[in-house]
Amino acid sequence: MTLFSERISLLLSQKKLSQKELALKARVTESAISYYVKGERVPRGEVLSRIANALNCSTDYLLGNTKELSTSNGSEPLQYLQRNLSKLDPEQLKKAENILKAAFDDLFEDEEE
Amino acid sequence: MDKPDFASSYSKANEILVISNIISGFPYSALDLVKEQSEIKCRTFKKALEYGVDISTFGSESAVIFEYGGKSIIFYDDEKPMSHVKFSIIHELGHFVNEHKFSKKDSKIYGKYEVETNYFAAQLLMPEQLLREIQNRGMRITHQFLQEHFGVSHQAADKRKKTLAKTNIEWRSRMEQEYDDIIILKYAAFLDKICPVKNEYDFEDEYNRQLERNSWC
Repeated sequence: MTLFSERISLLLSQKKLSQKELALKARVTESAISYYVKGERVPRGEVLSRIANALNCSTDYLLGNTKELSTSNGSEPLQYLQRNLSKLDPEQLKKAENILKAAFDDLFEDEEE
Repeated sequence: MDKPDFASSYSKANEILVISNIISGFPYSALDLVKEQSEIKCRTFKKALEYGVDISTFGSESAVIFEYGGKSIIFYDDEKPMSHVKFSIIHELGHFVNEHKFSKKDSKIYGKYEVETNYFAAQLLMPEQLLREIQNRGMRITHQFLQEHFGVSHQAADKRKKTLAKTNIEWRSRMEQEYDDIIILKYAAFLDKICPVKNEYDFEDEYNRQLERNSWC
């Protein structure tokens, strides 16, 4: 088993996705995904990045170049227009921002209202 | 405050009015429009609370856009009145469409942004061209009319009436007028429904008038 196949299997089980669902999301064939999971092949370029997008992680993580799941390691700023109405002092605001950052990807992926 | 770029906000709203498949009449779904026009996701304040995030602490009243790691979410408070929330969601979309820099902490720039996005939202929800056409057809634009046929709040209707009274279509540049005809054409069915054209060409009447004109010579 390659590191790639380990990581893709791990993410599939964490996200409770089937190979078929991943294939659909990443626009690749189901049999290709099955090869990747078994460790018989490793995708490159475009396909790799589509799989990383579908699994919400970086390509480097999938390939085993980094242990960080995502390229954003939390140091990236949360961008929004600060309203003067904010009830929080700067320290509390920072805390609230961090909570939102941690939940951001899940909220983005959460099913439609 | 820097001068708001009204012309750009106006043109961007007009482009959407022309190309959108979601908008074929008024009112329409702001959520569907955001989905059609961008990759932005819309989530309720309640949904954020499920994840332990209280969006209202960031100081927004009914909607706010966040960008993080290349993804954007508009959070909106679906407990506020529908007409109010709709305006706010389109207002937030306006920040994105007008390419406002979210990182700016300067309150002067913030003021300029807010004016531009309010103008953008007003134009998308109550297009000036349609209102002028309705006036040309002899109907008065009242608060109630705007609220009823365009699904906006009293506050938005009030503001729209005031800006409409202050502007004149003839002051608009050729670039700003670029989409006027096509907008009227696209929403003709909507216009005819809420404000049918009276005085259709009356052949007999015109014939009698011509007879009278002939008698003048």
